[in-house]
Amino acid sequence: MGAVLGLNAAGAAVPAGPFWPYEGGGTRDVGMTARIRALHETKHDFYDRGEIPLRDRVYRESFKRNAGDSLAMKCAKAFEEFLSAKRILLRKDDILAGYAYKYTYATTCPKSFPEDFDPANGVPFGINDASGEIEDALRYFGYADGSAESERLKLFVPAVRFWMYKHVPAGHVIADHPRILAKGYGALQAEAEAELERPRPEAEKDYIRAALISARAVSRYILRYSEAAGELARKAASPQQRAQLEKIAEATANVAYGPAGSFFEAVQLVWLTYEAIYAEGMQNCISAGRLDRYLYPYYERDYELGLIDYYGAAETIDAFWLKFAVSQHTFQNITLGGLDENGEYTANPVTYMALQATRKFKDEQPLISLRYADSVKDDFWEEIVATLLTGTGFPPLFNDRVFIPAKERQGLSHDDAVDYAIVGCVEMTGMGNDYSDTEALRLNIPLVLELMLNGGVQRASGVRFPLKNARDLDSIGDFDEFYDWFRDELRHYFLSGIETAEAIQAMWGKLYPSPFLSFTVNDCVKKGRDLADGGAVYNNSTLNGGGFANAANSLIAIRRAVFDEGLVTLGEFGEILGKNYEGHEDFRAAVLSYPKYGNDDDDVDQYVADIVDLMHGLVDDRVNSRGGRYGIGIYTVSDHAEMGVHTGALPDGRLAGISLANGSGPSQGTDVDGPTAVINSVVKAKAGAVANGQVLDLKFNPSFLKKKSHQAALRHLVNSYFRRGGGQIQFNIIGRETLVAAQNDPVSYRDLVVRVSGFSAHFCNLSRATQDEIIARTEHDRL
Amino acid sequence: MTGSDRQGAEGDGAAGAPLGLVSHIQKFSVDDGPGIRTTVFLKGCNLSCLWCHNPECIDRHRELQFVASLCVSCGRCAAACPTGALPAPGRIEREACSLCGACAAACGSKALKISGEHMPAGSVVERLIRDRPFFDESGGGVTVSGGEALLQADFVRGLLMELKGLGVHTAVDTAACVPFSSFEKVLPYTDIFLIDIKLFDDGLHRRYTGASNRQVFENIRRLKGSGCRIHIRTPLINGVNCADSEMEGIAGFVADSGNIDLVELLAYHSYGEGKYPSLDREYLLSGDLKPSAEFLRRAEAVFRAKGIETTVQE
Repeated sequence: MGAVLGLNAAGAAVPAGPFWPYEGGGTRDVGMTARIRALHETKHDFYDRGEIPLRDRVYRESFKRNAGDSLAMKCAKAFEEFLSAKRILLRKDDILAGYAYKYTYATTCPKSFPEDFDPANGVPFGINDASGEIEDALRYFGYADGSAESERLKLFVPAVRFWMYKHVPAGHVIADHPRILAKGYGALQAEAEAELERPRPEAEKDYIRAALISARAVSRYILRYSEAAGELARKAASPQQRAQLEKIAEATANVAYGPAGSFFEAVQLVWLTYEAIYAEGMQNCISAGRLDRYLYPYYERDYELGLIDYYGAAETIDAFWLKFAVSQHTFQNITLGGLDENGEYTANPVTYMALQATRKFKDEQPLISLRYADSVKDDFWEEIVATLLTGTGFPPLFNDRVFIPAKERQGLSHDDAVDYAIVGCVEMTGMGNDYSDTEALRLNIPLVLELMLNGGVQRASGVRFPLKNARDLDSIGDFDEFYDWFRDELRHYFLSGIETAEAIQAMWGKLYPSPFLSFTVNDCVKKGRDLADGGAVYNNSTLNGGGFANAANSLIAIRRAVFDEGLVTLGEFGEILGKNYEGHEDFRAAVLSYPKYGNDDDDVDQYVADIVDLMHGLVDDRVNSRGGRYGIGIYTVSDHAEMGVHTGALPDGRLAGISLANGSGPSQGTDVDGPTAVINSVVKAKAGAVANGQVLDLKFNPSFLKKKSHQAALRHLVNSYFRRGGGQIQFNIIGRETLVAAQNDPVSYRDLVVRVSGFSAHFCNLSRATQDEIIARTEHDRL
Repeated sequence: MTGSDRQGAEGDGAAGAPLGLVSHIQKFSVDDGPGIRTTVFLKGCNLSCLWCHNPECIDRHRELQFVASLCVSCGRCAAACPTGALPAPGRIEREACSLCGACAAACGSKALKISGEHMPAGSVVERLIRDRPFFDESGGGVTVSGGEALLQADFVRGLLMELKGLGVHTAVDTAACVPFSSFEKVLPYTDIFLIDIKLFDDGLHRRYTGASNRQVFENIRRLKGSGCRIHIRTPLINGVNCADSEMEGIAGFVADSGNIDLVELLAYHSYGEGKYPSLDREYLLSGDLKPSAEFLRRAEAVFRAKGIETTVQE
């Protein structure tokens, strides 16, 4: 651990340390300073349990009072009132101001919370409930009861509840932090005022006024921190504490309206913008973008002025990390590294601080994502490996040479594509200019086969999701005929979902404005439109799939068992699946012996490639209601486990209720030829065209990565995969024994974090199904 | 499965080219030579090292393997067996077994499998070449191992010839207790030999492996003129060769040889032990076989003191 520096009377770090202790190679783990350790240990103890009910009350009363206003204006006024009524939370030992405790999975506008709501007990909403949105959409479009449109929308509710579709509205946005830091809220408010002077429709002016009210409320809210810090400083227990509180008071006074004048002020302002976004909308998956890129100039300048050194800045980053750590389930992603506008790979001292903060705390938030190119330097690869070795699954690697062109094809300008960042789990969007609704729709692909073989009825729920063409199974003469039918039904379920998701998006843009979040994203103020209503520069949409491997394995099983070998008829196969293979164990053994995706066998891998092509064919030329384009996603968050629970036995031999395959990876335990074979299978699909993210999860034992030659081999594995169009790869560095032990004795393994799919999570907090799924994934050990 | 039952290691392919008896092919091998490699394990060995971690590669014939822990006692194997060699699940009467593989095909839990497949070089190459992008990226390639790979020198020659024709880096992993004529067959197509020096003292070598080590040293000396590079691999087994005299002896030989680039010291691991019961073989070593960390450090120092590049795998 490096020298821990004191603070001088002005509250600045004594500038005695290095600029970058690791330049030119080598990594060391920096420990926590005493005051970071204290904050870390007590991070869950400090929050206002009355805050969310208060917000609830304030919004309701304000909406009633301002009944004559536009919706955006009502939201802005309620937000303003809430920010002035909200308690300011500040501790004497705080290093940075600001708290946002577990605002999660709720959405904008008033949402009813019980009066005794305590965020420490988790959130009362399921992610699989679309009933509210569908009610709103029916009302918004005024569809007559019983009309075809109304029926289609209503069917979305059980489809989401029973995991045929996954759908999360809104969120997944990155504010334009670099611009906010550079200009400050005062100048941005002045720009908005100037926009009001231009001739434009009254509705746009009204929206800009709403955004302005929200932004001014945030400036005043930041000033409240300054007052509180000044007051607390007078009661400080030590000179060091007083100095830090005075530093907070000064910084918050400066950034309430002004630009960030120092590294500390920049970090402080990023967090307070975050906090205000949560307070406005409780949006999910708000991400910070390329933090190391935009904080670095402040660090460099402060160092040159002799105000700060590496260790002092690292402590501020640690404090910033802890702000995210208490907000457990909102997928706050921070993007690190990546190519710059000249095509050079960049990693700077802030990148190291960020990776080290993640290593120190081993928390599941914030998520970090690393933009990778084969030109990363050896010493930086060591830093990546050191982080992987913590077993937290961080950082996943994203292929710049695939995703930059993929974002360009989706309509981003070259400069904006080069600046892409990860949002939520693994999705990529522009920085501060993009609203892409990345989790709008995910289809459970193998469930389509279940519906085909069971007359359109989902076995787990008993709900009928009508097929496009219900057919007599035993009238199908050959596999080609069956496969054509499958492609047709797959298109049908994708398209029904897309149409409903588009209807929800259209409604959402009108009924759920978030004027403050929109204030932080280009070009909402200029356009006078909410970001969900086409206000952003880029207004794309997404189409995701789950269970690719299971679908491919099932297709080849049907081909072989029914049409090649005649072991059963298609109708009999459906009946056997209904019995979960009970009494048909021999047949199941035969089915299990067929080729499985993930072993570099073209005969089965072709089906995954074909399904991905089909998805591209559906949406590549489609324009959504906000004028945006579509991006494909081959990642499943943790939905593969939930979808599995709601999917019956499949023709590939998988029994009912078992997890589906994760992202673009093989079905659990069916890849028997190691990671190179898995990668060879995965690159057969056009992953390179996937603009909304991909997940390939490989699991390694910790012992594997201790050897230098193995670390090099891992890098070659990544490079070879990426060179052939692979988009994303992530590593679970964890032993199976450890996972099983944690399952049996969760108390002793409370700190164990594993990478699930698009995210890392505390293993013991995961459902049993997800835990089992992680354990079942083949370990690439035994080497 | 190709080839007839009980066929010897070097059966003949259709066009007269020898078939190889392949135990298994392991991709992403990162400890069998440089880079990311695919290792072909050939079946059949002329040594009987007590610590052997690939016991399924010892016998020169195909074998039925049974992993008891995977067995669910469903009885389908016994029902499928045409010769009555499986009176009960997992109880194999090896004399009666014709190695037809019916039981393995019927086994849903994959507890039973036939180890060893007669394959022509062409179909082996077809599987190896799929990882070509990884070889090229990492400076890796193909390693032929075993068993004793050079007991099938004619097959290995054909295999390596095809691979070199495709520009693939090749390595042969051998215990080198074979006539030099076997080396000569593969020499033109081999980039690196990975050669085991298991014990320096010939008496101990005979006792623990069943053969003299004189041929090993002789072969390494004779390879000198060939231009082939050599990596030496020495397993360190506590109670067998974890002695300073052993390390000094091997290091001295290596230092004098002039054609050895690297010594890899491999600490004993018990991974192979679990496979013995699956082949109805008895594991004869016991006790604390793992070398101490202190000895590993000392052994490495002995080699390094002589200017030898050395790695230690714990």
